Amino acid sequence: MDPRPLHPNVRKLWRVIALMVTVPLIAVVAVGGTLLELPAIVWGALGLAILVPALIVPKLAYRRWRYAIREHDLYTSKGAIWHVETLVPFDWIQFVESRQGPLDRAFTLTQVVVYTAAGKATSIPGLDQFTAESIREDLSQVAGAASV
Amino acid sequence: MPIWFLYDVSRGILGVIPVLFAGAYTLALLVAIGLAFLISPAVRYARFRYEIQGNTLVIEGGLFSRWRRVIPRERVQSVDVIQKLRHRAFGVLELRIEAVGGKQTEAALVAVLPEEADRIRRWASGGSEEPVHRAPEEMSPPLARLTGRDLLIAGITGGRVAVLAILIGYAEQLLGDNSFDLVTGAAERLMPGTSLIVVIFVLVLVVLALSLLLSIALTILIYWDFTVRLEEDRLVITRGLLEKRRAQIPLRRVQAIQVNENFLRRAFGLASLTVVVAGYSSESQEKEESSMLLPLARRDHAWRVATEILGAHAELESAPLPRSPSRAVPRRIIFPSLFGVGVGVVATVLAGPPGAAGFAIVPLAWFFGWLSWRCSGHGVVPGYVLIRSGALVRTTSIVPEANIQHHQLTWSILQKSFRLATVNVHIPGTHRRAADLDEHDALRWFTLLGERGEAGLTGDPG
Repeated sequence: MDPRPLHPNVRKLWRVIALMVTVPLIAVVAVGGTLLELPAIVWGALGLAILVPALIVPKLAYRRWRYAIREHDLYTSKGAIWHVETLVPFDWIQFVESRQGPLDRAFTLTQVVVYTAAGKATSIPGLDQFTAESIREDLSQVAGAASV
Repeated sequence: MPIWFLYDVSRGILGVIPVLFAGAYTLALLVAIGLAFLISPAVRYARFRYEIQGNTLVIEGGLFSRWRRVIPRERVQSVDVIQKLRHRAFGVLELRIEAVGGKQTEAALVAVLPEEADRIRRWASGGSEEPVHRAPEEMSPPLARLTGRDLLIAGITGGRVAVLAILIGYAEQLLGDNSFDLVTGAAERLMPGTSLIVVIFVLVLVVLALSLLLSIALTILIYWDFTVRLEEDRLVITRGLLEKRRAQIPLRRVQAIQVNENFLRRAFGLASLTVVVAGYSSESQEKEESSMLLPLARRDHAWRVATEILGAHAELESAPLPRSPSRAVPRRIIFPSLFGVGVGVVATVLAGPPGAAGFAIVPLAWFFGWLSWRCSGHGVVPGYVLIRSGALVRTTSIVPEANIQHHQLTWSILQKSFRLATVNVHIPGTHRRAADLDEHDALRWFTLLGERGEAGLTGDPG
């Protein structure tokens, strides 16, 4: 199959996560800036330096994300800043798991995580439940021709 | 096994020793602790059980909370036999069994009789538990054996200066802050009229000589009578002077072999070999010693041993390992240089002109960036991936393709602008990075390694 993007909902999920991280940080910067009586431009710039990546990175990450279940292997491409492509030949897959955390559930998404004998090889975070389950089943079917 | 009990109690008695040195205040407390030390071995001994049940080893024990562990035979990575002085006193051995995936030793049988150790070892290597009597002359000739001269050279060329640095740190704490004055004062009396420069010079020489002696002593202690031999389908390594150890590693557990050359050894064409096995416990120094395949050998000999163990062609040594493109050098020195400039500026602002010494980080960063590029080298040959890296210590990892579980192609933003990329190959327990390949080469590697599943390598990659 040709490389596919993730479910569009995952952008919302990532934005929520990014805000959960950055909002407290910006609050700290704002309070700290007021207490230390720094000029507004300094802590304003600092706040922007935290906020802007949080807004941009989910978008870039979504644009970068591709996965493909190919003839002999699983391919993923991810990372807005640090671009990582991973290849996991089916024979080396130890087991596959699908996961749904509370945030995933809120956006009706499911993750698929793939393990080899060297540990967690890759994960596909934003899939609808049906796709995730069929990928999990397909990969479990072909997994593990190679033993450790 | 009463011997075991005696042995454990002897450790308890060691715990009582602090009582002899204690003041009156803490005596009562220490006596209580000492008693606990005496009683707990008895309880632990009474609770500890191990048993071979067909294909599994079952171990249970526990002082406060009971535990039970089941280790299937096919999960066993290696079995190490250790005999420290205290084991010798009681005629027992310690067995350490490492299993796949664990971070620590899965099963430690702290004191077993030699015959019992033999039985468990035979079970672990898949044979029957019955003893096989073999005359010494039937044993395979060792792949390598270290002579006293080798050990001496290994000690002289191996960097164990770190140990001395720790000792110096201790001495300084003991003597207090004025230790330097003490030393220079003593030097004044011993060598009156000498300048501070000479004193420092002499001090450095003394420190170097001491570290050298220490290094030689440690090497002799750890690697005395070092032999490595192939027995059927496993590697057997024996070593040690006061503490005798025998490690056996099933060949199919060998994930990779590493050729290490520090700058000193490289100059003399010497190298050491280490084996990469997934299960070895992670304490670093211990790990380095137990994974040692060959503490010192001529480089070509080391490669011969490595290829023999891997069952690879001997010409692997002469496989071309081209360096990263030269633009990897600026890529590597940009951030350290910026950091150095930053340190220099801050130090100058804070400490005035002497702070400018902080800028010295910059040429240092350049040197190491260049050196790490000089030491780099990568190659894919049929069946193997070779990755060379390092600066002061150059390491060359030989990774059989079949042991690679998954692999990655990564770019940082900086690497993208230099058209460089890194390939990460993941093997059980660890990974190796082929850093700063030309982007196109990296892509070629990525695709090539992806085809290993189709090239008929799927037989037994583990």
